[in-house]
Amino acid sequence: MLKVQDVYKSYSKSGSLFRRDQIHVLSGISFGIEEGECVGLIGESGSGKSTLSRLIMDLEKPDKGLITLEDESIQVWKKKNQGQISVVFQDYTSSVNPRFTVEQVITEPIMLKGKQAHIKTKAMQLLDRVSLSSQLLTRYPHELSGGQLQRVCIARAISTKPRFVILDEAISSLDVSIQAQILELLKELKTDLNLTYLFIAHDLQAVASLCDKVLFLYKGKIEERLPVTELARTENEYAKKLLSSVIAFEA
Amino acid sequence: MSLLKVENLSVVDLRNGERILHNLNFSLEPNSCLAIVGESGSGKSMTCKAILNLTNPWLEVTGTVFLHGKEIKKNDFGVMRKIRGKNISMILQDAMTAFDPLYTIGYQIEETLCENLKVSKKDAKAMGIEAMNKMSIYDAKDVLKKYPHQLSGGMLQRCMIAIAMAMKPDIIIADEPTTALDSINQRDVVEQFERLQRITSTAILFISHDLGVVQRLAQKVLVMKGGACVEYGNANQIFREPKNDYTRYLVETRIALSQPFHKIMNREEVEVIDVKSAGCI
Repeated sequence: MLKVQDVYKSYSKSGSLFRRDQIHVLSGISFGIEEGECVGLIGESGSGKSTLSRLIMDLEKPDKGLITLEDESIQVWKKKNQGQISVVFQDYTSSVNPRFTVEQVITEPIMLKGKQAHIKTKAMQLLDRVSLSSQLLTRYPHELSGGQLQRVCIARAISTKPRFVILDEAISSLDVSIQAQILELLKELKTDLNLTYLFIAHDLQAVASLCDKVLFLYKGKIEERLPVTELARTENEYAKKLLSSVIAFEA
Repeated sequence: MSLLKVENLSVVDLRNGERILHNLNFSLEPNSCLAIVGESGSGKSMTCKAILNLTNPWLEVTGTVFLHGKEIKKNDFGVMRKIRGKNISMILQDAMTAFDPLYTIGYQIEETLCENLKVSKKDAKAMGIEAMNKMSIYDAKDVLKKYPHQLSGGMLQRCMIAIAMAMKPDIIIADEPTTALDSINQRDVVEQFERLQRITSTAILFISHDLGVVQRLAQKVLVMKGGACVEYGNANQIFREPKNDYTRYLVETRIALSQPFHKIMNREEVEVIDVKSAGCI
């Protein structure tokens, strides 16, 4: 479905006009995601994970290389398939308008597409989909807990019936107990709505429980790619280090 | 005698009369680690703020805190200032915002040490470098010259632990020190805490919602929910057979999240062994 071919991206250092002062964030990234797959992208902070997600959403242009969705360039694809790619961010408080009620937050993307009939019932269905009570419709974001608000963000992301969802550290700032619930919800939605996920995270345990394939991003390069079930067999140094440093809870 | 003893600690919001903490009782022994676990909003951070009297003015803190068996007089600012930093140091969750972005790390370390330990700038620098070496920051001299934005979150967190250690306090309160870090840095920081326990007699009050980390560090656990203590006791016992429903819920969700990872890692190990033994035959 998604194909990323040999993508480069660099930013110039602030306050400098010279080319050589550029910071190479991504260098030579290539990978593909098949329809219905869930791919985990792991890397430490500053490794270029979020840059990559911005490139895929066409919020920024790569310096070199090609990103295609279903064999069409991302710009063309987005025009043809409006609202079919959406995103959930890590920071739920800053990704919703604090002056909007939950209903407005959820229905904003639908309104933008121009469908306006039965908007309230739709919002209620979406809330129900993410297991929230419809009483929350009139609440404001600050009145909800972190887990509830992230559910609202997920409801917003699926409101336009997307086929491809990018989850950019979507569960990282939640409590562990809530993380487990949200992961369950994501799994459910994936099978029910036939979604394709790009799951960006730094927590291997969460990736292991949701994804089919894992990519390790380190210093702007993909160091290792393998199916999640083969994790223990990795030969790559960085991946090994990351795997061995997981502090898992033992019952 | 306990190093730190907290009796009937309660916090009330004077603006609306809401009780934020309900009669907390716990104690911290020398050279041990007590972990406070719970979900966000359960009052973990409030507890350590209340101990150090760092709460907002509209919150009323009641109850008594004993340090070395002596009651801390909360309203005596001079005493409180001496205790903060010298007897009890605090490590905050978000290292990125805990440092002043306008000053170098070196300046901030020197300032802290000069103010609290009354040493000269030169000595403070030497102590800072020594503490950072202990924290396995080997290019300490370069790090001292850097500004917070030039360092990674893990590095800043280690710098903060280094400062806390250089003060040689009796107690270190660590408020979610590993939450904002990725697993390699997280491992590093946890290992530094283990080292800290081994080489000094400092007691640690460790606040976290990550039970994996808590299990490695803590001997005792206090589980909090909605500002009240729901379970308190030996860490192993609580994790193995939780008595309270809420504790069980926390443990179970943690296990549910780690299980797929364990399965993958363990199954592969088993298979690898099988292949090897097959090769032997």
